[in-house]
Amino acid sequence: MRAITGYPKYIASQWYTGVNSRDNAVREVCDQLEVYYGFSFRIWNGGNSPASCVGSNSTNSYSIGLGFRFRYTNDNPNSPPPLEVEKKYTIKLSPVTAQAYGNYLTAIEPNGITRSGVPENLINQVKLIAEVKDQDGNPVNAAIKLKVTALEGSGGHVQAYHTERNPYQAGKLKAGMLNSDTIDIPKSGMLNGIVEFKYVASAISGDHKIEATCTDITCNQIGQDSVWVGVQDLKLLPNSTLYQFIGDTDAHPDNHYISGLAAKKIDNIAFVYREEFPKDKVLHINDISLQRGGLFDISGKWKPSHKTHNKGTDIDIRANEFVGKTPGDIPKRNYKDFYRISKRHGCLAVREFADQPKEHFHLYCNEKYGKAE
Amino acid sequence: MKKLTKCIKFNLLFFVLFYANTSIANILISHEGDSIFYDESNNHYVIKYVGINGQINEVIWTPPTNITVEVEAKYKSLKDGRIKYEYEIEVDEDSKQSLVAFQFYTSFTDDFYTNKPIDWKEIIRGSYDKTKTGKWINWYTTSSPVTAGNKIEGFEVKIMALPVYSNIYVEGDTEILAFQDYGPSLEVQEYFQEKVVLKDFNGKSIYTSVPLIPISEPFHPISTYTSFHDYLLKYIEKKYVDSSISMSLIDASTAVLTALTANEVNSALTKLRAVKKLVEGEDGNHKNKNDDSEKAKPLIIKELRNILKFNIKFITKKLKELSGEKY
Repeated sequence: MRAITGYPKYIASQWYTGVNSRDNAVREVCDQLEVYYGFSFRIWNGGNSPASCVGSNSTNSYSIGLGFRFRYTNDNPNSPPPLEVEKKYTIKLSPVTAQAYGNYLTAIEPNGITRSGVPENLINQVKLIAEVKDQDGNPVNAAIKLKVTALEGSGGHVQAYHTERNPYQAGKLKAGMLNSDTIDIPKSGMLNGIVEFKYVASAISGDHKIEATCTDITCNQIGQDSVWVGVQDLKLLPNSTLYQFIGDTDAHPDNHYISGLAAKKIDNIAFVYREEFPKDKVLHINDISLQRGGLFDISGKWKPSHKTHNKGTDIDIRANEFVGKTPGDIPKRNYKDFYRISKRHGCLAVREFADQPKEHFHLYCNEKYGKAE
Repeated sequence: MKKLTKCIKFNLLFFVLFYANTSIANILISHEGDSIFYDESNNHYVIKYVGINGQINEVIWTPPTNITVEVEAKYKSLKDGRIKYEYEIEVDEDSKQSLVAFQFYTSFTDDFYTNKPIDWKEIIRGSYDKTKTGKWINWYTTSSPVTAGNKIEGFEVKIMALPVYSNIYVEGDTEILAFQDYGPSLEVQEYFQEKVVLKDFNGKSIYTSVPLIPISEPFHPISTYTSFHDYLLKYIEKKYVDSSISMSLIDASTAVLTALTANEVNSALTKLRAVKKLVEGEDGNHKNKNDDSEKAKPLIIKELRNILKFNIKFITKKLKELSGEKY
């Protein structure tokens, strides 16, 4: 297709249907032959036929029918030398069916989140397309490279206090047999300038940018390029006289993000506990979840230390008076009451690190316990 | 000798197969070295998992349903229009657990009074299930569990609600689940919570009289009777009512509802008498029908029959008060 770099002779739609009139509209030179495939007729009017039109402007030519046009250019030595016109290409990502989310391609949940009755692959991955076009909006098949990276500092993790991430921890891109944080899709993998692929989130929440480049032509990525990975609607548990916050660290300065239902439950639990034991210390609330949920790596090493605490429904309450003498814990004599108060407010209390300095109650306050009534 | 060897081999094979089969049947989940085993003979669960230091931890957990009790519910109308409920719970001599908690869900009511035995605590709260508007009444003790062979009384509710035959929940004394670290893998923990803990989260379910049909003040017969009728259909669906009278009962009760909807109080009263007869077993079609051949198989469970009779009597009285008045 010489039209890409050739002499600007004629530009018109490549597809046509019905009647296409080009009266006085298009300049043609005679060194080209237009070939029509399919059902088509061409009516030449006047001296603008391929045989007799050298140097003339086109007038009164008509094409009728339905089909696809190929144009063959016969370089005429008498013609002016072809001008180099640089075409501009763009590559754009967009979700196939998912909803856009603010300035993001879409929002999905991190790996490891489970919801009753919802298959995990419906919530932690999204189908996207990459679409390459030329400056006129025509689709172009091209070889492309896709790479996903995590925006450091997003999702409630402070990078300065974390180790370097494994690339896979930004999630994976999947297209056919390809499955990695970086994938190369050959030109043959595209159809009409489009290729479909999946982004599968890792367990870590945050902004995950998908960089798309063309490897056989030069193209610029346009449009949204990031996926919002996290649990939506988590909010910081508000301050209260009924409890105190503990456990924030440099790596995770905000460790008290919580779902609406769990917030209501812990507020009720803290209220009843306070009423029941007014002389004891209020509850000391340790880790709940990070800003967007997902993996809560206490040590900042991107590894699961907390196995849960990933969706704002698990709450740690200090309870190590018996061993550790740490201030602000639940005294052992109150354990059974606390367990029962929690249960009656839709949370299962489990002792973790029992009889050790790190002992605490882990409250499971997910929606299942609310509905178990 | 050959025979003996053959016999030993056969027995060994049988033993291995039998043991393997038994073990597989009781392992509820196994994932990357962590597992849950159900010990049927003791009705407890054994959780084994690889701890954070690589050691194998074992935790035994008994659900709070290893308790056997008898519940007696009494209810009566008070002059102020409320119904007073009293509960007495007796823990069986053979019960493996002591009673530590007792709870049930009631219909919503503003005018509410409760009482409980000494050393028992109370939590009353709304439901976290947004579709429900009633309240949970929870009574529990941490200092005075009721041990096997003993009974406790003094649980009391005064409420604007008629009784239905529904669940109360009792809980036996059990240890709080405790791990030496963060516990087993997420998969095993989720299984445990979903399939084991949640199953008996409220305790052991026991059917008795529970205040669940709200009575409005002033009395609104259609809403109260609709609620009564809906419960009647549920009893029939659950086969608490013998199939020989279920259709007649549905027809008779529907006729009452139709009359009330048409604002025909006297007609509703007449039709309610037919419902009463069926409930009491005094209608000509069913009374003593099988007395000669089968002895004393009740057409309606005794406790349910008493509940229905109480409801019908209460509604009849209220309808008579309304008779002649528009509502």
